[in-house]
This record gives sequence, structure tokens and C-alpha cells, in this order.
Amino acid sequence: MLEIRNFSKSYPKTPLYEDFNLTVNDGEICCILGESGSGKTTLLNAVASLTDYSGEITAHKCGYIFQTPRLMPNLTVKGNLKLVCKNEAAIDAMLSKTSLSDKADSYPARLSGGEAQRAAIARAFLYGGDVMLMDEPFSSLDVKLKSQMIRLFFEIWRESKPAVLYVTHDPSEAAAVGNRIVIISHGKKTFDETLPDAPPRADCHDVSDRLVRELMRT
Amino acid sequence: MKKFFTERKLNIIISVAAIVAMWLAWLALYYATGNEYIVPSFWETCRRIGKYFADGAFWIAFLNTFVRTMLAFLLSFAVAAVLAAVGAVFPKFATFIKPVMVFFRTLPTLAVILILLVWTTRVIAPVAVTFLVLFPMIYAQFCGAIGEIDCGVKEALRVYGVPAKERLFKVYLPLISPAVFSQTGANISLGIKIMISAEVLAKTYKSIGGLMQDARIYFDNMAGLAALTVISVLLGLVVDIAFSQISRINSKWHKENAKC
Repeated sequence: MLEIRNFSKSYPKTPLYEDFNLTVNDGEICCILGESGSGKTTLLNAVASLTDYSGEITAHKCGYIFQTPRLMPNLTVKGNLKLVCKNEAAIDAMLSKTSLSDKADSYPARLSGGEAQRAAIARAFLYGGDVMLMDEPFSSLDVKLKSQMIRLFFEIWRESKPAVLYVTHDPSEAAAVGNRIVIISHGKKTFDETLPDAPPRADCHDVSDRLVRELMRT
Repeated sequence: MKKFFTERKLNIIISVAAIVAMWLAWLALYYATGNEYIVPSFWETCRRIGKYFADGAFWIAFLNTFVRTMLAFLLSFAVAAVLAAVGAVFPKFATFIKPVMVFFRTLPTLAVILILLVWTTRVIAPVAVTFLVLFPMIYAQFCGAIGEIDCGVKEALRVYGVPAKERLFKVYLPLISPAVFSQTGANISLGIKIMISAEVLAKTYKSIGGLMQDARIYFDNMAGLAALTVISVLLGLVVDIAFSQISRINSKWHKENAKC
């Protein structure tokens, strides 16, 4: 579970968050939507303790799937996974789940965009955090690949169902992935709704349209 | 014709042509001046090189110079590595040490040798001055290499709680090693040059610089001096080539990245 209480953060001349509160339970995928510069990534970085903030955040161990894979370029795929998990059997199982068994000894420079992001997903889930942070993880992928990645993410997520904080600027992606959508504007929640059916949603045009209207209103 | 002259073969031919051009320039200068004491004969110089190689005293001097150079280099490398690492962890320390490095870089080398000869001995002074020249250079190379490490990589390591020891030995050191080791040959070559210059000034006993000073003082004709100069150049070249080969086999991942 992730609890954010009285979270405040500002940059010089730019106040971002003031007394922001959010709770994400285990099994919940909370999508954070907002315009560029609204502080979505800052929120994730604060949860991951990558930036200073005031307030209280309870998240003991976070896996983080960044916008770019951020694999260690000098380590093979398996080497990257060994940094977060020493259990060989678990690593081999995760490589198999993410269809990277034949790429285990490849260096990141030799991977395609999709393969590298799969390795990043494998690393995040192997780490075994109680919270999963995802910062526009599939934004650089084409539509077909994005759909495959989202399917893969759900396959692995269902095994442990950690709380997920998923940042995206794409309403259709939020509609497909999230079971709770939060829209942030000027550091405040302007929309916070739990959707009735479980993700992933194949047909989410209505939800997506609604989110676009809400975004236009902020 | 086009297939025979590959890029690599062409570069070798051009390099050999440059060496031949320098040799021809030497011959031209020798015949133009017609004075052995100003420009020595190439063939006499080669004969003197052979004489030095056959002399046990020369090899002792050669080894002394080389060992002292390596000592100064290793000391510079170690101190630079530690200070660069501390600066990376504590940025305020890097700011503090910046003017110190500027001071070391701008010290006039020959003046420093003269000062060190008062403070130390003829053997220590050349080592110290070589250290003072190499240390700020190698420190800058380390800082540059550390600065090149992707911030995203550092953040990922922090988020995933990778222990400091693993971060250092499995990620940071391998990431900076290609940049640092690619300069090692050049650094040692420069060290040899500085060491010999310092030995000449300090008249260091049993050293290449000392032999050069003897050749000059005892008017052993220019051929002897030229021979020692050529030997020094060859030594620097061999070191440069040797270390560039070593740095090539150093990191497989770097070669993989370069292929992409």
C-alpha cells in the first residue's frame, strides 16, 4: 500500500504541490493524468526518494519502470537482473515470462526498444517492491508493441498485485490500464474516480472520452 | 585497386610516409648544415643506439627512468582516482579542489624542478615533478568520465537499493574504465618525457636524463644525444601502443556498444 500525506513540493518560483494526499491500496492501479509540467513525475520521484519533499510518504520498497529502460550498459540483461535479485531460479523464470531467455547474455545496446523495456519490467518485478511506480513506461513504443507490453505487465502484475502508481499523459492509455484515475492540475486532484470494471480494458473509448473532457476542463 | 587499398591499409601507408618524410628531413638538414655537432648523422646515431643497447649501464639507466616514471604515474592515478571519487560523492569537495588543480596545472615545470631540488634529492625531484604534471591531468580525466555516467543509471541504482560496493565495482568503475584507460598510454608517454627532462636538469645518477647530461657535458658529439632522444621517443611510442592494445581488450560491453 502507498500512502501520501500532506505532500508538499515546490521548485524556485514554481509551487507544485501543497498538502497533497493520496492513498493507493494493494491491487489498485492508480493512473495519474495531467498536462505537461503538472508534477506527475515529481510525485513518482518523491515516492522513490529521488527528490526532497515535505510531508509523509509510506512506501517501503518501490520498483520503478522509467520512461527509458535505464539498464546498466556494461551489464548483460541477466547481469542487470542480478543487481536486484540474487535468486538464479527467479531470474530465469522472469526471463522466460518476459521472453528474454535468448537475450539473457546480450548487452542493452543490442536490444530493441521493446526488449529493453521488457528487461526493465522484469527488473522492477524481480525487485519485489510493495509499490510499483511507472512513468509513461510505454510512451516511446508503437501501438502494437504498447499493447503487447500492457498485456505482459498485467500477466506479471496479477501474480503479486502490488499497488501501482502509473503516470501517463495519454487518456486512452489511462482508460485501458487503470482501475482508478486521478487527474492532477496545479498540485491538486481535479478528478478522482474508481472505474467499475477491471483492467486491462479492450474497449475504453467512453472512459477515454470522459477523461479528455475532464482534462480540457482543468 | 579500390578493394586492395582498404581504409586501414591506407592509414598505415600514410603513417609510414610521414615517418619516411621525417627521416628525409633529417638527412636534408644534416647535408645542409654539414656539421656533426649541430645535426648528427642518421647512421652515426643508429650506431650509437646500437652501442647503448649493448651497454649494461644503459639498461640500468633505462630501467631506473622507466620504474620512476611508473611510480609517479601510479601515484598520480591512485590519488586522482580517490579524489575524483570523493568529489563525485561530495560535490563541495570537488568545488574546493578545483582551484588547487588549476594551481598544479599552471605550475611552470622547470621552476618546480629547481625548487624540488632544494627540498628533496636528485632522485625524488623528477618523480615529484612528474607526479605534479600527471596528477591534475588524470584527475580531470576521471572527473570527465564520472560526469559522463548517465544520471538515469545513477537514479536506477538508488531506487533499487543496490549496495555501494556493488555500485562501485559492478557499475561505476566498469563505466569509467574505457575513458580512463584509453588515456593511460598517452599519460605514461608524457610522464616519460617529463621524467627525462627533470633528470637532465637534476643530473640524476643512472638515468636516461643523466646519460643525456653526460653526453652534452663530455661533448660526446650530438650523435649520442640524438641516440638517447630517439630511444626516449621509441620508449614513449611502445608504451602508447602497448596500452592502447590493452585498453582495447578491456571492455567487451564497450565494443558491443561501439558496434551499434
